[in-house]
Amino acid sequence: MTSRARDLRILLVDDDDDTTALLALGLERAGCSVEIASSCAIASDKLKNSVFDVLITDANLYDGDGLALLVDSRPSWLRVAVVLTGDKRSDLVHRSRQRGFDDLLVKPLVAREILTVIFRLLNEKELSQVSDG
Amino acid sequence: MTDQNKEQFYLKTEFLERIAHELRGPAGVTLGALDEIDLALSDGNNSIEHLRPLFTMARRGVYRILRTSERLQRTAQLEKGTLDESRMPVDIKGLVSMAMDATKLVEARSNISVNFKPPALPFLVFVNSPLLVIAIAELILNAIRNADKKVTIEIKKTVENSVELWIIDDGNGFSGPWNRRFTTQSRRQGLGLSLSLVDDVIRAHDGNFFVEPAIHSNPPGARMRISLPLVMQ
Repeated sequence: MTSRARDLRILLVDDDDDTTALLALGLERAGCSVEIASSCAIASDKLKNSVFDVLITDANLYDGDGLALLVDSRPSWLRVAVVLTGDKRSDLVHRSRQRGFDDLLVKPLVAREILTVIFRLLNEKELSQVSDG
Repeated sequence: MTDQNKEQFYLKTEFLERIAHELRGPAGVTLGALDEIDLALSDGNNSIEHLRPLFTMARRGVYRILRTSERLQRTAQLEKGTLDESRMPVDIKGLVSMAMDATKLVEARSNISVNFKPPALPFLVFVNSPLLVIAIAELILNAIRNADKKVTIEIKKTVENSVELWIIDDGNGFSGPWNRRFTTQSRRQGLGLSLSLVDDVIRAHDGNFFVEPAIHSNPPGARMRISLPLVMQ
């Protein structure tokens, strides 16, 4: 997992400092490069000015809706986008799909569980590209 | 099901969902921190100093869970109507100081400064102190969560013989959906568990609680204000 994670640039969005610190610790140990945003405003700014492979965002941020980060359009360079939530309601699942997110994960989660999902999604995308090509 | 029953059912389910949500966050932090401590100890190359922040996170997670438990207990106390037995005159400054201490146990945002200049004169209010401390702590925690750099706490006497406690942050204010919910008739639905409790506590003490989401204000930030009748001296 470490060698595959080494090239991943991740934007991690959550307004709970302990949650982001712990997830970043685990993701960085696996070799990922992690940037943290504690609000929708900061995350939007980072998405406009930097390139990431993966977006991991909490659904409920104090200054807005984490799902709104992809509201305009999903950047072409973004390979995987996942939402973290404390409550997997069916309407949230539906809305996250509509907004362009690949999966919705229920907290509590540790970094290795998130990485497992990210690699599964990357594999699915690679397979789909091969079959399309 | 009548409209009233539907409303009660909705509020109950929303309350339960909110409790579940409020337990998951700190439980996840505690589990995550314990996992990291386990990994670090297995590695064998980590000093106690390296582990200290992880212990702090785990402890904070447990304190946050206990805080939710205490809020539920106090909500039950309010529902039972046993408040009056334990009310006494206290200086509101002391309640603010105790609330500020309580927030330090559960709040991770150490970069936010909380500024409180207590007034020289005492302002006595007739309250149940533990309940008021919880309510004020909830407001401070909300403000810290929303703040960019600082939270300001002010105490003011009004002409109507009441005292106002203002808690002001310098963040972006509440988001759109929050703002909309504040302006609906079912105002409490938008207050969240913690602010609903504050509303209940302050009303039970014959006071008022106001929230100004202040999205377009200059300087920016949300303002929360409680007012309580002063004890006549």
